[in-house]
Amino acid sequence: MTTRTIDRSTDLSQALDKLGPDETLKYNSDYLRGHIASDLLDRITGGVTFASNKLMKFHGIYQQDDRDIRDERRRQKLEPALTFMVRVRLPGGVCTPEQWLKIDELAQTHGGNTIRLTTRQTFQFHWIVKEDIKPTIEGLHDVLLDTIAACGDDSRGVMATADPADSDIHAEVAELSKQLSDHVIPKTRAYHEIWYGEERVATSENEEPFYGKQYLPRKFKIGFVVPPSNDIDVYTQDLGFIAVTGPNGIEGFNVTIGGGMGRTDNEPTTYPRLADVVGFIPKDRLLACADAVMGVQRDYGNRVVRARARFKYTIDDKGLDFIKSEIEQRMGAPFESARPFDLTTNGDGFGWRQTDRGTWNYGLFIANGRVSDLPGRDIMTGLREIAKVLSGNLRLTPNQNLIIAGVTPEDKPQIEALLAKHGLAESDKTSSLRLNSIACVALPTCPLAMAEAERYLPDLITKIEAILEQNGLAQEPITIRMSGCPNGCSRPYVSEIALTGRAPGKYNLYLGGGFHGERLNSLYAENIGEERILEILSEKLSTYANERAPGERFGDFVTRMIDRERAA
Amino acid sequence: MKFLYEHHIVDIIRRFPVAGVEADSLLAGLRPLQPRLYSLASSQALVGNEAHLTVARVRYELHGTARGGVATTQIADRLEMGSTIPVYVQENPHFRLPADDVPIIMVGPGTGVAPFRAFLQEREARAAAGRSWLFFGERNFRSDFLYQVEWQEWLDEGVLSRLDVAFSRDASSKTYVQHRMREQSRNLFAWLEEGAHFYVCGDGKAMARDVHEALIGIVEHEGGRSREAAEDYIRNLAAEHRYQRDVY
Ligand SMILES: Cc1cc2nc3c(=O)[nH]c(=O)nc-3n(C[C@H](O)[C@H](O)[C@H](O)COP(=O)(O)OP(=O)(O)OC[C@H]3O[C@@H](n4cnc5c(N)ncnc54)[C@H](O)[C@@H]3O)c2cc1C
Ligand code: HEM
Ligand code: SF4
Repeated sequence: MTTRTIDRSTDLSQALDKLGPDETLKYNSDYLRGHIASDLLDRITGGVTFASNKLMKFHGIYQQDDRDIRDERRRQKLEPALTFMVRVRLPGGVCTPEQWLKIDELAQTHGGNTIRLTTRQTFQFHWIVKEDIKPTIEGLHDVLLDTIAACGDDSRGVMATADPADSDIHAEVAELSKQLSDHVIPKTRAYHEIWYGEERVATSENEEPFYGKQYLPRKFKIGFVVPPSNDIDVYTQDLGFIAVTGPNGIEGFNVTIGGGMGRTDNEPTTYPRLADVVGFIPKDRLLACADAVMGVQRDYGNRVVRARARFKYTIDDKGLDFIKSEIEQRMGAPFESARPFDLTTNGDGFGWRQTDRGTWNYGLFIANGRVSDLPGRDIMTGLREIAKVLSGNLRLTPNQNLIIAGVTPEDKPQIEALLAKHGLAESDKTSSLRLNSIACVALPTCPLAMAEAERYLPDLITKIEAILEQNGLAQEPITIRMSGCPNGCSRPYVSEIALTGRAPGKYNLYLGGGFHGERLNSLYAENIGEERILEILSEKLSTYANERAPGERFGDFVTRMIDRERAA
Repeated sequence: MKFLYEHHIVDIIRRFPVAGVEADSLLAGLRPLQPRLYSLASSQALVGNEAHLTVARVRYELHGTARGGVATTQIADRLEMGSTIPVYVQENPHFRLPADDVPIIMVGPGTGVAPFRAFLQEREARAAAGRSWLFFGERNFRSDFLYQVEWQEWLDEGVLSRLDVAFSRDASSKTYVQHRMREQSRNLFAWLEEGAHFYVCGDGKAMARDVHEALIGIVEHEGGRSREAAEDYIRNLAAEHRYQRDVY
């Protein structure tokens, strides 16, 4: 028998000078303190130093600038209009009405009067100036929210299916996602000292018993899914838990590892990867399993080349079998064989649905998760008024929509009236394509964006709707996702139609993802503009309308067609 | 005086019309416009054959109509790129850099910062070793931080040793340069004791007086002196040409 030797030349076992620069920065940061506190007081700049910006990501904060006015400010000899993005930690996307009202208030006072619901089921504030970061975080603290590990090389916000048919299962999954999130976030007191002004207490304990001084090689994403919904796109998570339910609620989970969307153009060693299902664990092994998986990534992940640091590459580099057995060893038990499961869609439900408890849930479509007051659609004001009277809760979905949940039959007329008053009642009366669309933030705030996404996708969809109309496909659910760059924050690579930005007005077009996120799409055309995009879609959609098999999804059809084209 | 400040000639004519005076004869009776002075904001040692100015466009409202300063709106709004205007140089022998190794403290809110940009350009070109400290103030950090990126670079390179800024419209309490000076009183006094030259440029109505008061207060407080002794100290600075002002 030959034992395979595992290459340890790029991981935590190596000296700092053999690893990438981020490792030294983390190591020397005094557990994420760095010079953040003094940078916040520096009046000469609206920003922070390079190192502080990196460290602040671990605190859920990301420096950005208004790219629309970058050139103008350069001419004025002013630094870019620097502001900060602040991302909340909201496990499972569940939020109380009280929390919603606080978020709303903070957005009005510090966040440019707008809130972004994100694809990882949380709130994101943009446009926060440096002096306002602290008041924002203190405000969140008032309603027991924080921003710990919302970005950074750590385990990010934990996702969970937003709207399972069974209310008890939802309650349990939401609770587990909260427990797990609290378990996996960094334990350093840096956050409390910097943002809440708490005194530093001298301690001899290790501040980060799990993470150590170097944290993870890269971001790490965890999510729970309750079949048949795959709203969280479980195959895109680093670590996924597919709930297996029985008569007494959740029995355990099928575990998935190694999903991830990010790729870099012209960098063939980077690629999106769907997760592998590695087996089943009983419910009581959940935390041990998460520790084991994250521990393997912490110890073996690539810390030399950041572009290869995600867990998906660790698995491909070391081999799935090795990784799996290493997890089992650390977990103290083998995986049981995976239980059967069936995922059918990664979309959301809309409108009113009665739950098994007799209360009502309303699925509100919010284009690209952008909460603000638009002409005829006062999303921000309307939701504020609803939160003031709601006795249930609000749930952010992984598709950037919102569920107004737990509305009692007595309260329903009042909520309906408020929805109608603020132009939100018919939110889902639009094409299925629009309802199944996601765009990332991109311009003007995202520093990595190469092309528009959120500000452009709605217009592009209007043009595609005309094509759908001509082909009788207006009500055909098709997923479309747009990202301003190849990083793929809108999870484009599992979408039936995807566009990722290359340059202003230019996109890569991907076709053929699986409707419930089970298959990656493939690159169909590179660096093309709107005219060409519409030409291609027009051709593909009309063939689809004419030649598809009964019930066949667009993604499945177009994959078949492309395979045929390529074979020919 | 106040009446004349609030009523320009055209306002007076509108208010007290005199029959029989035609536009031509009125104009013939007026004195020619006086030249406007602007501090040079650049050093030829660094920019060669150029001269940079820092011009604040004068705009205000009077008797319900929008008014604009003659020269500044001419420069900012009406002149085309590439046009020429008549200029002359008026030297100011009482506002000069000291020797290269002497520390300098510069207080220049608003357009008062112009000569200090020239000072730093000069010191950069000469690779001068002396420390330098600038106090700058304006209304809003976001829009009015004149030459922000240049100061940032000079701070990085060490051409500028310290920069303290005050933006009066940003915070709830109005903060001006003299407040920042008081916050730094110990350091500021130490610099003076080490022979620093102290410069003030800009608004002569309120700012120069407030800065002067702050300076006396600092010497009193940090130097443990009586008010009169502190005033003497400042007078002595001026006599040694170590306290220079260019205010308008
Ligand atoms: C030594 C020196 C250096 C200077 N350096 C600079 C410099 O570097 N940069 C710079 O921008 N300027 C500088 N100035 C000021 C400059 O010379 C001009 O005075 C200024 O630019 C205004 O010129 P203007 O022709 O646009 O305005 P004018 O047409 O001369 O109008 C200004 C006049 O408008 C009137 N006025 C203004 N506001 C109001 C109000 N709210 N209500 C009623 N009346 C009002 C006042 O009578 C004021 O005197 C300096 C001045 C001096 C003496
Ligand atoms: C606005 C500033 C943002 C920046 C600079 C940013 C940066 C990045 C980067 C660099 C990647 C690639 C990661 C990799 O390949 O390892 C990425 C992926 C991703 N980000 Fe963001 N992001 C931003 C906003 C968002 C938002 C608003 C969301 C929604 C919550 C989000 C969620 C995601 C997701 C889902 C992925 C892809 C999934 C994956 O690779 O696992 N990001 N982002
Ligand atoms: S996909 Fe790219 S452009 Fe869009 S938010 Fe993410 S990093 Fe920014």
